[in-house]
Amino acid sequence: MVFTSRSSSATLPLAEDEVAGAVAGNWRRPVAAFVLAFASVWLALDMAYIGLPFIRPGSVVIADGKFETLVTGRMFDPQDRYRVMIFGHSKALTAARPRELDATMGAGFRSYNLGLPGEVHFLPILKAALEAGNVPTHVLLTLPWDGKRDRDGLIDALHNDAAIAKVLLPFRTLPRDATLFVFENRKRLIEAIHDVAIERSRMLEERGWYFIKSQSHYEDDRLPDDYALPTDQPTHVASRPIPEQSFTRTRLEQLARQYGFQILLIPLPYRTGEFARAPAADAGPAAIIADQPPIRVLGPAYFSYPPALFADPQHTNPQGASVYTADLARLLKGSGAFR
Amino acid sequence: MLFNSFEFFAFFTAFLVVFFSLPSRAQPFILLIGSYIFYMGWLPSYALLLALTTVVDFTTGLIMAGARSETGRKIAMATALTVNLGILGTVKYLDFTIANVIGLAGFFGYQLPDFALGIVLPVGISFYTFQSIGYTLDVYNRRIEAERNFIVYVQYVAFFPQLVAGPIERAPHMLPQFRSIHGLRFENVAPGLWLIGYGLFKKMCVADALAPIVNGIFADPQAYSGSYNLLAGVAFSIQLYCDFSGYSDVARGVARVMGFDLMINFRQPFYASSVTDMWRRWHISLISWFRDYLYIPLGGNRGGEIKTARNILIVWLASGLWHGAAWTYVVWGAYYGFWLIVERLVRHTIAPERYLGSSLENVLGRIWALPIFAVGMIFFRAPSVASALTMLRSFADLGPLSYGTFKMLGVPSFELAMLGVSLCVLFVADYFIAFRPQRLAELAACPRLPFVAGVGLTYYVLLFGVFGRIEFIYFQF
Repeated sequence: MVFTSRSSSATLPLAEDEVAGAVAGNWRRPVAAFVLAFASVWLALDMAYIGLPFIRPGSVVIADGKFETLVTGRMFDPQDRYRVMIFGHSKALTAARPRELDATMGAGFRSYNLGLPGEVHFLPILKAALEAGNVPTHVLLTLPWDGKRDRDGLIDALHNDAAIAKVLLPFRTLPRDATLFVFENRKRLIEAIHDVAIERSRMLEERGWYFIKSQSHYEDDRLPDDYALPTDQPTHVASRPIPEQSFTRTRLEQLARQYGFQILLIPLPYRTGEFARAPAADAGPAAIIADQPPIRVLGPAYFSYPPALFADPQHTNPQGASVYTADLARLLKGSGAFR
Repeated sequence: MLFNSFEFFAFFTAFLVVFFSLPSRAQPFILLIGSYIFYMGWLPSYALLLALTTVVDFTTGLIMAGARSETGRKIAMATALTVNLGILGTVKYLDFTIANVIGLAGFFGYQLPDFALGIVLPVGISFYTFQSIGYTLDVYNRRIEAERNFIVYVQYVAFFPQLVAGPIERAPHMLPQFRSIHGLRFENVAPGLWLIGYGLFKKMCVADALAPIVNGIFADPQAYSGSYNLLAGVAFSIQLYCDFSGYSDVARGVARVMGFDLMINFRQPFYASSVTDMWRRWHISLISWFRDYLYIPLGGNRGGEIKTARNILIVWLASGLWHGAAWTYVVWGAYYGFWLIVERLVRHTIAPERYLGSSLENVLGRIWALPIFAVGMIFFRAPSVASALTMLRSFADLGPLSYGTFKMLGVPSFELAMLGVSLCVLFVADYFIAFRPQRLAELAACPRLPFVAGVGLTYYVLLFGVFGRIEFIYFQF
C-alpha cells in the first residue's frame, strides 16, 4: 500500500494576549511595497494599452471605431427618409454592405452596419446611438433577442468573471495583441501600424461593413468549391428561434414606441452544406409577430451561398457580401416596410 | 462559490474583516456562519445534510465517550456509520445500483422499466462524510477524546476552505485549532497568499487552459488519431493535478491566512520514481484515510503477500467507487491496484535496486510511472469503459499532431504558446519545491525578491488565467 506521513507546518494560532500585537505587527512596509508595485505595473500596462491602439486585432479597432461614430458622430442626414441600423455579430459585420444596399433601395434610404465581432447584445449599442441622437426608422436584427426573462441583476454581474476582469484589467489582451502584432508583422511593423488606420477609415467609409482579412487563408479570399467541415449538417434545416418573452424584447419595444422605429428580423448568410437550404419564405408576406410597435420576420431563416462566396467557414468575402446585400435589398423591397 | 471567482474573493475579504475585527470569542461563530453561507452558495438545502451528518456524529461521539459497555460503543459507532454511509450511498450510488439491477435483470431475460431517481449529488458530500467518519472511528478506537463542544465540532466538519474538496482532515490535527484564537499575522498571511496565488496559477493558467484540448478529444476520441488520444491522457493527468492540487493549495492558503494549518494534499507527483511513489504524492489525505481506516483494519501487509495484495485491491476498488458511481472508476481503481501489486512483487522478489543501483532505478521508475499513470487517467475521465478502450486501441496507430487541430479545439497560437510557458513554470516550480526547498527558502529571504515574484505571479494569473468560473473537477465527487 502507498502511504505517506502526514505533514504539517508550524502551528499557527495565537494566545489571546498576542492578538493585538500581531495585528499591528510588521505589516506596513511589505503591504505598501506590494500595493505600490502592483499599481505601478497596472498604470504601465494601461498606458501601453491606450498608447498602442494599433496593435489590437482589426475586429477590436473596428468595434471601437463604430462605437465612437455611434456616440459622437451624426449617422443620418435630415433628408434621409429611411434610417436603417443593422445589428448582429461578425457574420452581419462582414455580409451587409450599406452603400450597396442604399444604392439598390433608392434615394432617401441610408443604412449602417452595426455588426460587431462576437457581440450578440444589440440593446446597449442601440441605446447608446439613441441617446446620442442617432435615431433610426428601422432596426434590422440578424439575430433575435435572447430568451432571458429578467434583467441581469447584481448576482448575475458578480458571476460574470470575464466581464469583471475586463473592467478591472482593460489591458488584459495587451500581451496577446502585442505578441501577435509583432509576430505577424515582423517584417513590416511600420506599414502595419498604418494599415490599421487605413482599415478603420475604410470601415467608416463603408458605413460599418468590414472584411475580416486576417481570418482568410485561401487564395483570392474564397473557400474551395468542395469546402466542408466535420461539423457541417447538410441534411439539417436550422431554425431561427424567436423567444416569445424576453427582457430584451420588452425593452426594445419600449424604445421602439418611444422613438418610433420598426423592427425587422432578417436572415444571415450560411455556407451551402453547413445546413440544408432553408425553406424559401421570402416570396410570401412577412410574418408579423407584433403590431405596436411593428415587429416582423422577413425571409427564410438564412440564405445559403456556395463556399466560393466565403473567405473562411463563417464569413463572406467581399463578393459574397455583395450577393447577400442584393438578396437583402430584394427582401426589404418585397416586405412593404419601406413604402 | 468557486475559489477561482471574484465572488469568492469578495466573500473572503468581507469574511476576514468580520472575523478579525470582532472580539476573539466571536470567531467560532463567525467561522461557523461563514462556512454555512459559503456552502449554501451552491444550494441552500444541501446544508441540511451537512447539519445532519454533524449532529449525528457529534452525538454518537458523546454516546461512545459515555458508554459503560463495549456494546454501547459499538452500537453508537454502527449508528454513525449507518447514517453517514446511508446518506452517501443514497445520494451517490442508488441510481447506479438501480441501473445495474435493471441491466442485470435484462441480461437474464427480465425486462424492467427504465427508472432513475435523478438525485443531485450535494457538493463535497464524499469529503465531509469521510472526514466525519474519521472522527467517529478515532473516538471509537480511543485515538482521541470525544469533542464536547458542539461549536468546535461544527467548525471541524464545515470549515469552508476544505469543505467541498478537501483535504480530508483528521480530528487530532484540526480540533485543537478550532479551540484556539486566531490573529491576523503577517507570518501567516504572506505564505497564505503565496499558496493562493500558486493554486490559482495551477487552476487558471494550466488546468483551465488544458480543458479545451481534453474536453474536445474525450468527447469524440474516434475522430482523433492515437497521438491525440495519448496526448489527451497526458493532458488530463496534468489538468487533474493542477485542478485538484490548485484547489488544495488555495484551500491551504485561505486557511493559513486565517491562522489555520491544513495538511499537504499533493507532493509534486510527476516527480515520483514509481507508481507506488506517485500515489504517495497524490491526494494524500484520501489515500492516508484509506490506509488508516480500511487497509490497516483489513490486516494491511501483515498477512503475507496474497492477503496484502487482496487488501490493496479492496482499498483501490473502494477508492475508485469513492470517486463516483460508474464502472470507469471501478476499472480505474482496479488498474492502479494491479500496478501497485505488481510493483510490490517486483520490489520484493527481484529487488531491481540491487542490479540497477538506486539512481538508475529512480530514472527508470520515473519513465515507467508516468505512462502507466496517464493511461489509468483515461479510465477516470472517459465517459464509459468502452470509450476508454477505444482510446487505448487507437494508440496502435499514432499519427502526427498538427497546429490546425489545436486551433479547432479552441487553443489558438498565443494560448498554446502560453500554455507551454505555464507548463514550464509549473514543472520548474514543482522541481524546486520537491528537490530544492532550501534554495527556495534562500530566495524567499532575499530582500524585495518575494515582492517582485508576488507581483509577477499575480499579474501572470490575471493576464493569462482563464476567467470563466470553471468548476473544479473534484467538486463532482
